[in-house]
Amino acid sequence: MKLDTRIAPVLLVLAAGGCKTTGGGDPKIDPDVKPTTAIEIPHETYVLDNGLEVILHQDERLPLVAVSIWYHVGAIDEVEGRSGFAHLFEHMMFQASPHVGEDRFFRILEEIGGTSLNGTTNFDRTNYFETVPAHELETVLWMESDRMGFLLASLTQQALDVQIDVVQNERRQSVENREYGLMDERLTQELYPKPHPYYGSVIGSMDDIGAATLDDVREFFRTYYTPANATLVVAGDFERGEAKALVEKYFGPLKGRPKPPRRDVPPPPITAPKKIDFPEPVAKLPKISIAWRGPSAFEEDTAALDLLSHVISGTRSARLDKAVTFDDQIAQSVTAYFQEHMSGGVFQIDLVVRPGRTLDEAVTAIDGVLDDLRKNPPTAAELRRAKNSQETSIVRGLEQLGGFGGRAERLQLYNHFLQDPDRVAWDLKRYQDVTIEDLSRVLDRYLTDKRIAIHAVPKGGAK
Amino acid sequence: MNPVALTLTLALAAATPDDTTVPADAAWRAERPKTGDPKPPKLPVFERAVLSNGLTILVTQLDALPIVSFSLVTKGGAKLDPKGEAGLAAMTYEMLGESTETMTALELSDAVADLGASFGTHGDRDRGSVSIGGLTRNADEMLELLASAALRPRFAPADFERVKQRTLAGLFRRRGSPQGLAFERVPELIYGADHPYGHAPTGSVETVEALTLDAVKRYFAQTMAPGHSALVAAGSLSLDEVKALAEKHLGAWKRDVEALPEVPAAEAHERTAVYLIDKAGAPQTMTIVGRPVFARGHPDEAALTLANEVFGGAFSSRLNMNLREEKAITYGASSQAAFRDGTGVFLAYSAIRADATALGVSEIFEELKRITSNPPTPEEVEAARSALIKSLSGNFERSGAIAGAAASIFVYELPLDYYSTLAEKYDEVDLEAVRAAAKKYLVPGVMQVLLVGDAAMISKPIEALGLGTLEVSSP
Repeated sequence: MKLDTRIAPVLLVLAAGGCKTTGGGDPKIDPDVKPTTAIEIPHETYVLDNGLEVILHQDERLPLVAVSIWYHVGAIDEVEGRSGFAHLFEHMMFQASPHVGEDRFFRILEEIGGTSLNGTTNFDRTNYFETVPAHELETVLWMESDRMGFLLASLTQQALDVQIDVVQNERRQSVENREYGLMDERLTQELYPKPHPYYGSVIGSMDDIGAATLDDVREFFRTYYTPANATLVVAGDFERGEAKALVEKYFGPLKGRPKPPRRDVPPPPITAPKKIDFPEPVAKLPKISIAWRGPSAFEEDTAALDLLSHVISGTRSARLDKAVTFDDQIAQSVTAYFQEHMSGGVFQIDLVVRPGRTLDEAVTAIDGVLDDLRKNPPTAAELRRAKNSQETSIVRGLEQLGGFGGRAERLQLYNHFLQDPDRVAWDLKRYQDVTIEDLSRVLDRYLTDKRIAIHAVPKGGAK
Repeated sequence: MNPVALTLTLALAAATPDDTTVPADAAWRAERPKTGDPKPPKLPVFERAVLSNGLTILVTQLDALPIVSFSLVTKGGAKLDPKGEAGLAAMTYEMLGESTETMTALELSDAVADLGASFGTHGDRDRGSVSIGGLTRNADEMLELLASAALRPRFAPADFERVKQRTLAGLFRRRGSPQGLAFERVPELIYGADHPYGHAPTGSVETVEALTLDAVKRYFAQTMAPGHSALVAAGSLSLDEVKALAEKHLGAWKRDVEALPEVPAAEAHERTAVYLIDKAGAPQTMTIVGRPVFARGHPDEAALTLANEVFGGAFSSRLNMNLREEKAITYGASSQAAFRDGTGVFLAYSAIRADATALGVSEIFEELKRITSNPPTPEEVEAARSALIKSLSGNFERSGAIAGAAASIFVYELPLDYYSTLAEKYDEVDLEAVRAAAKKYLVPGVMQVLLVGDAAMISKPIEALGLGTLEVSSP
């Protein structure tokens, strides 16, 4: 079977009142046209007097508006003894603010028909987002500005005590009582040893979560939740002048300290091979994770490492998947991925072995595939498939205004890491520009013997 | 930290007034803004056609992005699994992602990747599906691949053995996961093992071990037919365009199969029983409380949906506010009323701190009592109604959600305007109907309880609650 495998040259403008597309509907493609996809998320950026960054993206196709606020603070800003604090603080943002009231945040958002409501914290940032019917924009700005401006006025010890319990329950659910949850935490501790702030894996230790005080909350709020350390994105169906006036009305009067400097924490290098045996308390099958240090987010080589991960795993004929799920069926599951962080990325391969197979077999298979990849570099077809997959995942996310991977979050992502929200076309291009030689180069440069391998073996043995 | 910046921060911090009190000039914020009239919601429009071979076409045209997703949805699914062959439908759909008459499994996978498309198959309780999505300009090739995979599988013995071993490994692994264990066991406890919904759609290690390639071929021959199937499309193609493509790739598909059997009604148990799967050392107890309710299309559907929203469906529901925000013994508690072709279920669930398991279970039952003794207030019901109606537009933002709704329209034989008239259905339910549904269905005395947790720690306190018989088993 013969298939045309070129990607259509597509120019997309996700714009107010519809969008322009060229090439997308054309079934006949000029064979000389190079595969290119260019996407824009048109927007206007400005800064309020108090330093709050505002990004507006209009799109009137659906009667919805997505609001997203990123505070440029994450686990990277935590200090020793307070691991998990950035995330615990995020929980406090949903408790009460003086004008909206106690436990009203979710209640109001649900009642007005909010979707994609959440707050999340990761190593590098904390975000709050919701999508609501367009005419409720003012309600959301009212609530978001109240907690940005006045959270401390309704802070109570009781609310903090409850959220400490809730977050400790979250830790039980997402780490301690989840398959391989503690193993993943241990690997992070090895990759980012103390006093690196990533050590706590964002969720933090039980003791550190329990040690948080009201004074910690106050100081953290004053330092990091100042308007100058936040970026507001409004995306969707709104009238621009009206939206600007509302943003000024609710956020303009808020005061706070100047933007704190971002912590510049160097990523710790891995200096020698390390193997860790980990007794796995929850899962029934052994799992291995092998991790290598990579460059920090959006730095040179990150796109190539991303694409290399697709060549290694993710489709049935990817090198490692074929080796361990087709040729010699060792693996129950296998994945390879590159994680981008401000302080040092991680290239990782995870493999869960089937009953009766061993982690030693898994290591041999993984090393065999990597050796083979050095001798037989990725083919043009493999690279093209990797690019297709990466591009599709970015474009698919842009269907939504808000929510995970949506347009508001993408503007925020580029703004946070690159201080420029206007990078979606650049981002797609950096993937398109990757060559086979790049893949071989990053393979040699990063996937060396300086790696951490953690072997999780179920307690009581694999049965 | 840069020392200059540090000095600056400290200097300004000293000048900042006490921010634990609200300045007087912010008093205007106490009033919640009055928002204008809502814009009319924009809900997806589903268009239908039927090909001469009986295949239904359901299309929602979306022109925002030059992408489209197709799903070939077939009625049937795990409810047709014969006794002793739980997991057969799921396994059959897994096999529809393998070698076809013209391509090996690897060639199929590469062809999909070459198009930058995504491909998947899934067998669920009432349906199975084979799906592909990607750039609209590749629609022709995508449908060719979909037809090849779904209609012309090779059913090679080597593929079957590989898929079976992979599936078995996954099912074995699932028994290590508290949620996995719970969701494997709960259908049997709610419906009884003999009911078509009385097993997990995936089956279990024991039942999948017994599956044969002949059984897969038999299931395929008995169920995969154009008259039982719909091609669902969501993306930048019109009904006519999809129809032409479907005619080309699926038009020659002919097979007559017998009518699907009716799913027998499932009755609630007469009394509560508690099943505990021992997971020694577990710091939390995965808890599920549930009962069968009624099939889709039942007159109480909208009323129970509203009652559930108040009880545990929303973040701000009674159940979550009690267990998470008041007792602080969980990260979250919620409930759902899920309607199916046959009798659906009501389920409440939460992962509860191990040493507070009995308290948590007891509070779930207390909330079940309270929903009748202290019935939903007008405010609660209006908030629930508002949430369900006003979130409709937002819930259809993604083409995946639209395609899922189209599949439900086909599988459950709903009218094309089902989703655009949902708001009216919620509007028609009055307070008394919501209260009546709560009283009729959220009955503590018939609920079955499944716990996955540390038996040594929790079985005595659970027994002391006196909810019903306690049966402890190992995973």
